[in-house]
Amino acid sequence: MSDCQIARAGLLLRDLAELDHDPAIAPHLATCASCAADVEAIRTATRATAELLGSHSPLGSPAALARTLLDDAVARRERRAGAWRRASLTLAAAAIAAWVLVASERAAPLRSAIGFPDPPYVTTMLLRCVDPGDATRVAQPYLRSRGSSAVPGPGVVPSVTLKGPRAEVAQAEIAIAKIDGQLGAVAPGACPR
Amino acid sequence: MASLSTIMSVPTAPDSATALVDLARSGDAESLTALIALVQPRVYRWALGFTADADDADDVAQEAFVLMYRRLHQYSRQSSFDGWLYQITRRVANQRQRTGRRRARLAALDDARRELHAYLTDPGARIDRERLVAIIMAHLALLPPRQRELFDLVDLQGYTPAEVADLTGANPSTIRANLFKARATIRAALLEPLPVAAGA
Repeated sequence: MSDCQIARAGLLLRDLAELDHDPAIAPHLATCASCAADVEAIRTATRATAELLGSHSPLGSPAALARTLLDDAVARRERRAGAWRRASLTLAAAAIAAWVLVASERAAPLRSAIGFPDPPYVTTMLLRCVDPGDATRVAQPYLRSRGSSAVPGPGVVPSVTLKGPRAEVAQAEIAIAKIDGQLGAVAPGACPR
Repeated sequence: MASLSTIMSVPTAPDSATALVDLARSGDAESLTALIALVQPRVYRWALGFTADADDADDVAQEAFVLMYRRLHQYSRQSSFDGWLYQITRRVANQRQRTGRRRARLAALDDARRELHAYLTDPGARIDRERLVAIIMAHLALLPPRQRELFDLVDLQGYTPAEVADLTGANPSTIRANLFKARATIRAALLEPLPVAAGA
């Protein structure tokens, strides 16, 4: 490989500043005008390109750009706060609607229209003559829904506590009241006391 | 003769940048302005290396600053601020890559070939810098992105390979390999029509 080829190989890959100090290349460049011209051409081209690209400067002033960034940050914060406000209001409205739907008496027709279960209704009936155990058995066929129940009252006051959808509890109340004589005639044999 | 490294002074990342970051985070307008003034030239120059277009570089730089400010709270001092900002600039530039760009570069290459022919047939134009620049720019645009990026950073912007490793996160051997490939392509394009001297 000739010195020119060695210089050319170095010129293709190496840092240009290194070539002047490379003991294998520098002496040759000092004596070979052609290779020195090649190096100079590459050096000139690289430097000119670097200077050209370095001569461009950004258009925006730092102060204006900073103001834009700060304004953008404020706008983003306000947008976020607005979104939170809207979300909070929506949540509150949903909570109120849910409460009305679940708990309000006036919403009962609506609840039944959309198949939404009524909250369980609980009442305790005082019994005049029917035994609490019997009253419980009378009520049970009417209290068909899940969670419905009839519980005989404890203690000396005969009573039965009914729990379930309002309609079922009402039917059970009527049935017990009929037997217990609370609606007029007492059922035969119903009042041993 | 002045070496390239003395011609192209690389602005180092001063400690004041990280000091300004803390103040700018809190929304201090003056500190933010000072921070932008400090880094704007190099962000713009990085963007110019990615886009090869002054207007696009302006857009990329501005977008990079918007992202920088939004993410300033995420910056940790464990990495260099320049490296962090460089990654943001590169991401923005990559997002803006457009398909029409390659067509424009290919057209530029044809122009460059014509310029090269004129350069070779006219000895008086041997030092025609504009033509040499056109040749480099055209071939630079055709390099794979990584090679183009590294050639621009080291040979045109004057960063050392160690600084480039810090900016790009690439390992030194990758940098060296890509840089050699880029140099070989561009310099061969400049020297291709000039035969190696027979003597010596």
